[in-house]
Amino acid sequence: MTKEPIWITGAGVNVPHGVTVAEVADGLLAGRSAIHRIDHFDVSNHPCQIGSRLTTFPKPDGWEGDFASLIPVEQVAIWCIVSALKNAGLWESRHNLRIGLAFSSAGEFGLHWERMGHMNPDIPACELAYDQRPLIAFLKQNLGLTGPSATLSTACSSGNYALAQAKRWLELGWCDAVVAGAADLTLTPLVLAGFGNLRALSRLNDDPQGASRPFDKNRDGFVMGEGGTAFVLEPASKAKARSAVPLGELMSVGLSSDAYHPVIPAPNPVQAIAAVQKALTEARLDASAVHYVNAHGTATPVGDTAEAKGLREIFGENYRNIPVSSTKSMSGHLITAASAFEALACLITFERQAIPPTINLREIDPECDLCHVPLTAREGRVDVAISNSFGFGGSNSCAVFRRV
Amino acid sequence: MEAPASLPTVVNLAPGVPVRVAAVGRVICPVSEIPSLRAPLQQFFGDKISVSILKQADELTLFSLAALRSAIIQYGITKEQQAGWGVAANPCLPGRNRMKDSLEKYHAQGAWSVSPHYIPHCLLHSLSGLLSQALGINGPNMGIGGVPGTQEDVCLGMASWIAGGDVTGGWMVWANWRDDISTGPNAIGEAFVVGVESANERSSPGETGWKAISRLIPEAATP
Repeated sequence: MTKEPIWITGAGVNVPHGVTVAEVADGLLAGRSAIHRIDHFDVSNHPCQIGSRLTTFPKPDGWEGDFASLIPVEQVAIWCIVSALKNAGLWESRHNLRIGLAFSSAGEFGLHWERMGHMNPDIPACELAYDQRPLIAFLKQNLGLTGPSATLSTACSSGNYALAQAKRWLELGWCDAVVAGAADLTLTPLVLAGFGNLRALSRLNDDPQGASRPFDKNRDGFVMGEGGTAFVLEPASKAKARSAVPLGELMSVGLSSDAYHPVIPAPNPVQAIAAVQKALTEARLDASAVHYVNAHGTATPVGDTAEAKGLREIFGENYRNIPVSSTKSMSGHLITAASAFEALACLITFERQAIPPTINLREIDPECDLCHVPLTAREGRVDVAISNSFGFGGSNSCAVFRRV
Repeated sequence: MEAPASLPTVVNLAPGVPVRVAAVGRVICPVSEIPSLRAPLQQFFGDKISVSILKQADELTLFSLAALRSAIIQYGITKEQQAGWGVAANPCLPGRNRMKDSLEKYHAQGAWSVSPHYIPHCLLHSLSGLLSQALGINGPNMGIGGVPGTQEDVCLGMASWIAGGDVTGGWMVWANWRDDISTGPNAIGEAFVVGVESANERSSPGETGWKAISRLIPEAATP
């Protein structure tokens, strides 16, 4: 196994904040919320009636197939992957390379069944005969990628797990480059109702842009969002050889499981801490070297408290000096696509040398005492950033990125 | 109990990633017999998962838990042995029946009728998460594949974890409906689990990944 640095040389994104990295950076650093009242289906009897919905589905130049007839998650995935490959300078040469694909889209069939069920109530629901094609096989074939591939899901931490797989595949020499990322469009009637009935979502329906309040004393749950993000990763030597410009280095991804409950994070965050410590150990970094933490920070009462407790333990007395923010306050929670998007937020801090804020953080919960970046962005040196993501099923993860 | 002689000691999970096979288990179960699965599962995993979680779990999860129980008992896998293990699980198209019911209820009764259990129990991540909870192991758990024709993905995922030092071993799990039919009392579900550990042996030539692993599927299945 090679242990040379793994660089991120391309990124593609489609989220409500924008369809380019620059648009997303501008939106996050301006502290702009993308959350609105849901108006594409009747939410009058839903406990949560707000979300960060994707409405733009651009077709990438160079995509030769039919685009309009694709389902939305396919359109988003294609935009992100093609954009990332172009950004990395590998779009034209992709057929000559062994490029892998590690991508997350947890509910691809569930969402398809639901979409069909609402659109065509006259045909039997969820019948085998009406199943769609699997996403990954379609993407590989139509994008001409020939390396190993997998769809994977660890719920909210899926993007970090995809990055972890990509890193290992490259270290094992299985491919020349890997596209890793996630896309999910889960603002559907059943998913909104399911999370709402779990009591996981905010009910601040009269103030959509103020509803996502990670670490705030008055937080009352998360707000769902949609979108996708993809990255191109490759060994530094290969990137250097073709003079590629790195967006950052993926130093490590630490993984662990709570083994506690399908939904509720362990109140004693031993395993979440273990994931962060594994990541720092593999990156050979002391916790004091971290300049920014993109928190999981969903705004659930239990989750935020546990994460803050874990961060205080990891950083020790130094916790008052290491800036922490949750971009979910602006983007909403992109569910399966969340940690891929938040990895991009970390890379943006390198490029802009500024930290996006946790908006709506007006009254910090004393149990969530950290070095918060409330309300407005903060300029400052960022060379090392970490992104925490903890998913249903107790899947913990922490990705470490370094400015190159 | 020692592994049967027919169980190969070492297989190649991926090119350059040999693993030692520690246990295998297989369950084939018609829908009509699902209620009888729950009691032994509750007895075996009861200190880690509650009756209500077993009640809400997807059918593919129950089949997988039963296969896991069978493998653990037959091959004497201990908690200590699994301390550094992870779980990579491939439930094929989970949640179809539950989605059908949910759609019907939603159209008839609205948002309040939707079960809060669909998302935790019927998506790609659900099976691996619940298995790691049932086993009480803290290595990574991951849903992988999730659609027909993705058996290899599990081998790929576990191989990268083992080779990368993320785990010392792990459970690989495949669960599916026979003939892709998941509804009606005659529907039959199946789960196959393999426990593997990192091996120091050099990789031997021959079959790799799912091709090698699928040779381990026992002809006999419980219950």
